Amino acid sequence: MNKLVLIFIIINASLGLFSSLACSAETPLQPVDPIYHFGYNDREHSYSENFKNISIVYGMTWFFYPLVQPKVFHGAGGIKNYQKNFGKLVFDQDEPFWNEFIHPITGAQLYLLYRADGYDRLRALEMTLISSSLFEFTVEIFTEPASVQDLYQTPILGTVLGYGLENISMFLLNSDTTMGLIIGHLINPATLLPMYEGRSYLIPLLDEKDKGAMIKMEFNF
Amino acid sequence: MKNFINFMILTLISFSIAEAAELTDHNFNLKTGLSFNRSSLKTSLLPDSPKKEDETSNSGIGFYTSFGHKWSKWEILASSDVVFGNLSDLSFAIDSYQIRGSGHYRIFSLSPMIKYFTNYVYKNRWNLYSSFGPTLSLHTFIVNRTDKNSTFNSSKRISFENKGLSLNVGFEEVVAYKSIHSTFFEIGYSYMRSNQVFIVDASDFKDVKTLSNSASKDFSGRYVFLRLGFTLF
Repeated sequence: MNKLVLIFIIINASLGLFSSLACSAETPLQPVDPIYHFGYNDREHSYSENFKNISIVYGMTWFFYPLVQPKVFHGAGGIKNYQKNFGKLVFDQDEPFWNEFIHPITGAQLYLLYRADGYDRLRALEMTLISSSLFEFTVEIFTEPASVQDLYQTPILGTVLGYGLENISMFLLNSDTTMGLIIGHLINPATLLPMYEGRSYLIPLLDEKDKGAMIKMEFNF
Repeated sequence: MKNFINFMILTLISFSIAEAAELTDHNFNLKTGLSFNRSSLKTSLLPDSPKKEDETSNSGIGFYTSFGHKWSKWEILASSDVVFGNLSDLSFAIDSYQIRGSGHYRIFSLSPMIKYFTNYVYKNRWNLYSSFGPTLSLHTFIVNRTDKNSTFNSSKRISFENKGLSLNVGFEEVVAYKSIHSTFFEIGYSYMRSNQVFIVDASDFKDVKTLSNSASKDFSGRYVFLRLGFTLF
């Protein structure tokens, strides 16, 4: 993935915009840490990008599902089960722990993953819908048929939950506190991934003559 | 072959929704809110009630979600309620099981709907609408406290798969932009009748097993929903 770093604005110190950061001529200059701002930069994605992202997520489900459900390889799961369940759609009898907790959380993290890659909210919901449908119809059927609850709740309830997590995490990440950063990244781990496009830096520039700031944002293509 | 056709149809629906969203930007909406439910359940097997032998009423609370596409007056949407409530004086006789006791229930319902927004706007702010559509639901009973004579235990569940119809009337706030998160409230009525009954063993919550499954027309319910929520985006 090519990374293109765009430097947007260099503000001259003579404007006095960041005068609060200025050092007097008498005091020695101190290095200043960059100030991070977290957010989302919605942008258009090409079909090839959509296809690539869905393929990556789909590939991950093929890798991780057998790890968390070992019976894919033995016991109740397997190829015979796959053939029997293929195309079947039922109401599952699972406990609320799965239908109202695990599946929506999975959907929420998928939604946040697509948001981190620059999809707007509606597009992130669509991508979550496609990814979770592919998983339900072609991966999870190793162990059980696709279910009405999972097909609806994973993307829809997941997006509702993801929307809440998105707002809470952005508030925490921008709170400029260590605990806020830890919890913010914990509930929205996609903000730690290299693909996350919403982090911008405000880097104070201080030297003896000029005082200013540089705002830096990163985009992935 | 039938499974394959189902798979193709559902896949096409998923991709069509995604494609439609590409073409008609920002007419989709996602709503969520609280759902309060009052249900009147009727079956020849339930319950031992002093007033009516075959009917009981219960209340529940849960959450509501919907995802729809709106034109100026019409909207098509998929909506869902998940409701939890308590149940007393439960009495069933299904297959070899004698089920007596009390506990709680949960309902998952899913309705594809058509919604129509009328011209009536109360106080220039609340737009009256009505929606209608078929409903699929799963009504699950959990018996926590069983009578001495019962052959059932708390790790088992009785689930009725139902089909029915729903009608809703409500008001939605008129706002200039979706980002203002318009509020809505509505009253809904659903009638559902069972087509299948399941007895399941949930002693291992990771792997719920179906013990029996049979056709059933015995169970029916009238449900009144009060929903209060807002548009997320």
